[in-house]
Amino acid sequence: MHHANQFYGHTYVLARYCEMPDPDHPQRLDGYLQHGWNIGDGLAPGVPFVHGSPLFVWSERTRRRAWSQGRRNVVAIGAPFAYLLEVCPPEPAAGEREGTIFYPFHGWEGQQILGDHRRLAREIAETESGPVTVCLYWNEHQQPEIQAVYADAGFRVVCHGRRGFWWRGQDREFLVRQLTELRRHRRVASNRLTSAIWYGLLAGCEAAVYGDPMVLENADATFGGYSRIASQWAALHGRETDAEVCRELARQELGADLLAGPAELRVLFGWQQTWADAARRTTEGAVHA
Amino acid sequence: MPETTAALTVASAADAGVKRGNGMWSWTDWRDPASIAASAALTTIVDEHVVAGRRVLFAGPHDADLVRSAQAAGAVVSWLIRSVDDAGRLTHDLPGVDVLCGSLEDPAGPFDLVIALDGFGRLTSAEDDDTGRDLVALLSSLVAADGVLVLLHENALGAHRMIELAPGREYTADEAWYLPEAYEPRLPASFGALTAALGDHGLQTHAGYAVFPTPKRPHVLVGRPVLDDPASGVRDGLRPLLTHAFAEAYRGREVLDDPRDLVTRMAYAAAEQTLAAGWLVIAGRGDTTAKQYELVVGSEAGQLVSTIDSGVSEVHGEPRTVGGLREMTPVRLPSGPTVEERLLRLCAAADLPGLRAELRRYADWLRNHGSELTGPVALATFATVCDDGDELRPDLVRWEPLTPVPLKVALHRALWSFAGILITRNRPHPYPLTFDAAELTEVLAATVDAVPGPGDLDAVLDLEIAVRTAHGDPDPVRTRRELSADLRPMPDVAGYRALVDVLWRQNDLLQHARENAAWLEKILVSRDTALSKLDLQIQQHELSGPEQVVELARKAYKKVRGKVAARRQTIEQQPKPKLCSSCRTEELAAGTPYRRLRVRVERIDFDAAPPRPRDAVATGEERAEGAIVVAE
Repeated sequence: MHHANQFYGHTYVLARYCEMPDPDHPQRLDGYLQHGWNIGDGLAPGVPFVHGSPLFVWSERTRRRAWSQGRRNVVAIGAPFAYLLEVCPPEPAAGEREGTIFYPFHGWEGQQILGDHRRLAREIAETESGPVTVCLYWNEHQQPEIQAVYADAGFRVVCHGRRGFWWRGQDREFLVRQLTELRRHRRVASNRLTSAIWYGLLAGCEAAVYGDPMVLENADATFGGYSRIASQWAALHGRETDAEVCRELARQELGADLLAGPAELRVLFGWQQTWADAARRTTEGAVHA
Repeated sequence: MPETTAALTVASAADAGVKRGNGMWSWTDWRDPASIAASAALTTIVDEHVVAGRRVLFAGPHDADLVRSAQAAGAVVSWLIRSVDDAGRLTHDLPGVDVLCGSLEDPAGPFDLVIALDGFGRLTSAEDDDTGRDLVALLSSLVAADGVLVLLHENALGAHRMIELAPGREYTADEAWYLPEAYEPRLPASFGALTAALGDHGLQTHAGYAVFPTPKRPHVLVGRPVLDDPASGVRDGLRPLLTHAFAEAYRGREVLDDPRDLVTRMAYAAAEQTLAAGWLVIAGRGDTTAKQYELVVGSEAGQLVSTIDSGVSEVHGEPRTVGGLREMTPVRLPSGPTVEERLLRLCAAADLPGLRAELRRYADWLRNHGSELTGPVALATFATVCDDGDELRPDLVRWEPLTPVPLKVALHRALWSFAGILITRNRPHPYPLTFDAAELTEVLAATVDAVPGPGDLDAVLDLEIAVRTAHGDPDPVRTRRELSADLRPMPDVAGYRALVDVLWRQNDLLQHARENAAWLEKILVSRDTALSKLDLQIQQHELSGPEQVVELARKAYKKVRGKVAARRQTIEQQPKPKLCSSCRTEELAAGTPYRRLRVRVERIDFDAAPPRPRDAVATGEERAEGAIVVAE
């Protein structure tokens, strides 16, 4: 059970989808769960990997790539966000989508971003016509000077929460909050192609990738770096993109067409017995009552 | 009774009645019963040519029941055997059969029907000088002017030879006293060469078959019309039919490689004639004729045979009943590829949506037959159900249960069998590689909403044992033990390659288990530390106000005292002495009590013995030695 499995509340989402008892507490997942869109083998660079452990990746393409890198126990299951859409179907009475939600490319606790937020804010203002929400990663959200750059440009600034680290400080509702925001907006945009763009497309947004892509401190270039992303997924880059083409790509990258059913996923994660025991206890309780 | 040559004489009281020529003493060809050619399909072909009152010669070892059958049909039967012992025994067992002992030169022909289903291999004896003998000519010479020869000739290039695990045959087999065939083929090496050789001796081939899976148990006879026509309609069902026949023939046997892959490639290449286990020819002189079928199929452990000619299927024989199972009638030609073929392809392509759809289709097909299944559907597995393009058909199921099988058991058995194939044949699949057969069954079952509960797979095992028993499993108790061991089956056909794969898998699992254990240990340490810190925090929160003040004061005092001590230590710290490795070891072992000693050993004589720990009991001599070592 790697601690990254719980980043962004992924295991909690999957536990809800699998109808697990007590889904708000960590379910041990037998293997490694891909925790972000990835152009490599599904694992973040440098993750200590126990040989032979199942690696649950989002897409069939990532599975093939992982196989080519020597991983043999790779299972494509789809992204947790795609499962969240199954758990939280859109409300029929939802209002009209409006404006753009922009995700400035973020680093993480171990790698900072080097770039000019002020210039990016100007570019967003020049491009977007409707109201703009800027979503910052928590460590940038905690820096008032970065928040101020976007707030001063007239943007609404939000943060979906912390992804957590080493089983602590994680925000279980991270993805739920993100989905809610995405469903409010017509467009999702970023200065880099990241998970958030794919999520937005799957949640029904149009997508655009533009602006200074910024530089990730000590970025790993094993799989080609950002230049490869820009060329391989060129369809998503630009201020206006073809929504249908992008959505199809999102379905592929997030494995939306290969999602496992709750029972199948429970067996894959080693949760079936826990679920069956709980179901039996519930049945027995109902009989006694 | 026919005349025999003058060379045949009665040898002794023990073999009275045997016409003996150059027979072999102290020898038997029945040491291994599996070496005697026998199958219901062969019997069907032979029976068509046996006519009452006519002379029939069985040349070489044959199934005694086949000889009895010819005798019962009213034929005048002779039997050429090379072993004196065998001839004596058979003379006793088959009264009325003229048992001849010797080699091909000995019988007094000609015969109206010559049957040589054992081929040429055992028609010579150690007493004969084989060099220069033309066995085809000798055998042909025994056929009368209007006679018929039924000959099964083994193919040295046959698929069965390629997978055989029999190294050193030249030295291990007692009958290999003369093996020129291995180096210079004297016998026909192809179907065409065989018919040509017979033609050279006046025998015209009326019918011909490529036989599968082995020359001794040929259950599938593929007729010349199909062999010669790659577009034949029968060919569609040939691949699953042959794959199934090979799987059943080699189940539980050690071979070089699983034959199914080879057979599949053979069928795709339409190379049946080239890679057949042997060729069965029916040749005759004069105006003789023989019926040529497109296909003759017998069940592996049963008695039924289906002949297929111009799309018309005819069933021969009576169905067997074994345990709670009854042989299916009629044997059906596969109507298309098996579900297993398709699932393996989907697994290899990691096509999860396609795989799930195919599994659901199968489950729905079973469910449509009701909750209690009867007939072949009850024993269907993915390997025995074919897809004709529109619907699924249990074409390769050879048995049906006498009592209904619950739907759940039938479905789980199909899934479990397939899981076993994925593991034991090391087939790529889109699920965790570390899953065993039970876990794979669970995940496959989950896609069709039928996850097995406690005990469900035990019922599957019971049914599987019953089926294997009907198929002739010699040791069902052992099979049950092997199958129930974590439901992690061994390869059904123990090919060397499959076993190497099993070894690779086990090594991989072991490496994973070891690394996982090490990782879990690290995690436990981390969790213990986190737990301890949390526990301390909780304890602090539980303190009353004054207790918290005292605790804070205590901590502050400890901190200050620690800093003071550290500063003193820095001031007092002396430069570290140079130590030899043994002294350093001693120092590390002994800790602080040796600090003074360590300072003293700066002028140590390194050629002397190393210092001893302080708590060791020192003898007078050692004390003296110590005095030398630790010199002031």
